Amino acid sequence: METRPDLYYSEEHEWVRVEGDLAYIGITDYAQDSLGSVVYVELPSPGARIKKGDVLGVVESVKAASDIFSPVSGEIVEVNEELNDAPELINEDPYENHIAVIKMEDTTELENLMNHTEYEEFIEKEEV
Amino acid sequence: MVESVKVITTDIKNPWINLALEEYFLINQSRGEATLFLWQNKDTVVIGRNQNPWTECNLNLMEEENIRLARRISGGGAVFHDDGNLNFSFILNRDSYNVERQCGVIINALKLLGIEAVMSGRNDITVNGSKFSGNAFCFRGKNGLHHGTILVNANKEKMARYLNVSREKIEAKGVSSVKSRVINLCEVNRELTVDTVKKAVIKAFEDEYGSKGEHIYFSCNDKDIWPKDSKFREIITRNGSWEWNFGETPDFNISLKKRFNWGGVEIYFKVDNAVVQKADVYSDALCEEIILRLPELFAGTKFDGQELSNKLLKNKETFELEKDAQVKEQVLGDIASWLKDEL
Repeated sequence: METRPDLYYSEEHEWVRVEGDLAYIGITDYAQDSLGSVVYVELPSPGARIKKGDVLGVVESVKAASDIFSPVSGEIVEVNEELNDAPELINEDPYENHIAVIKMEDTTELENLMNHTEYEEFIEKEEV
Repeated sequence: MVESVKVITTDIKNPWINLALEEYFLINQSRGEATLFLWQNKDTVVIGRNQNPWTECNLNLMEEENIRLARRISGGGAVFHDDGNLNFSFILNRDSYNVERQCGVIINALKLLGIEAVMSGRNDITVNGSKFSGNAFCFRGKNGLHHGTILVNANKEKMARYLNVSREKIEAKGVSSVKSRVINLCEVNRELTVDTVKKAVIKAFEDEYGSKGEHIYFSCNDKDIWPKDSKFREIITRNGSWEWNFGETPDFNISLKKRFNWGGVEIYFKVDNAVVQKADVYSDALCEEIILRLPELFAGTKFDGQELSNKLLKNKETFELEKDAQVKEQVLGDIASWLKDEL
């Protein structure tokens, strides 16, 4: 399972890429692999405020519907509209296809997330 | 690893409460627990998490015949539930969640009743090549939900009527249902009842996951044992709301067309979160001043026949009706009642 060193990870299998106060959020390779072929992604509304732990969207695959929880709080400044017409991009490259971009209110929330080695250990434990 | 087993049954037939119980169990499932929940709904169409009720079911007929609409949290397509259908839900930690194993419980239950069933694809369980069980799935945190229907003696005629709709006028994103040939288990064995199937599923579940199951029964007459948590009440309220069942629909476009004795009208609605974002209205009727004002009136209104119709009628006095008042009033009235009936 691929992880990338430049990302933060949540226990719900989301990744976060930080650019200044912007957080790009997507689902991990592990998440897309366990979901299987994605058939629909419900995106949030740009402009909406969201709190850490709120539902950011839903990914539905041939196997299951799965809520995506926001790992940080802030304002949704952009959503990845490409996923509307091509939800399979999540399977093809989960780290290059974010779901939404959040302008973070509190960057200290990132401290609760894992780095890539911690996340790899976390997945291993889940697998047992 | 499954360490403890719970079997939950109920006589509640309200889909919004049953789905709330199920979601509540999913959220609160402890580590090492495996839960089986068996439930039935009174006449209800249940659509998948990312489906469009306008394309999946016959809403007008459902309203006429008092059929409820419910949206579930799992993926997949639309199904009809009635007294002849038994629903099962397996709730497991993700590390002990395994679709083949869970379907095996249903297959073993039928074996106990002398019926040979097999899994077909990921979502169906069939007997003699026809589907009697549709399955759907949802992951939430560390837990997985696998639920499905078992048609024992459901009303197939009703099922076909509520789930068949013409979709050519709608361009929709989201998830569409897959049609299958369905069979009631009573067509295989006339003696079968929902109750015998229920007992067999419980037996097969306990055989698979360990027999020291705790049995819990939720009665609609004994609310004292319902979950006290406000989260549970919240989910019930959400499940019954327009915002959930209609409002959660993926964005879509729909066109409507009708000829009246004063001319033809075509309306194109762009609908986001079940609210009209934009309406284009075309007509060869002579009362242009009415037609031209319709888009601004419709924009921002809930995509609901009654709401759109009310919007027109409530704004009647803002139209300049002095000239050709009678014709104009008829045009407004006709469009209003058409939208009310059509949607």
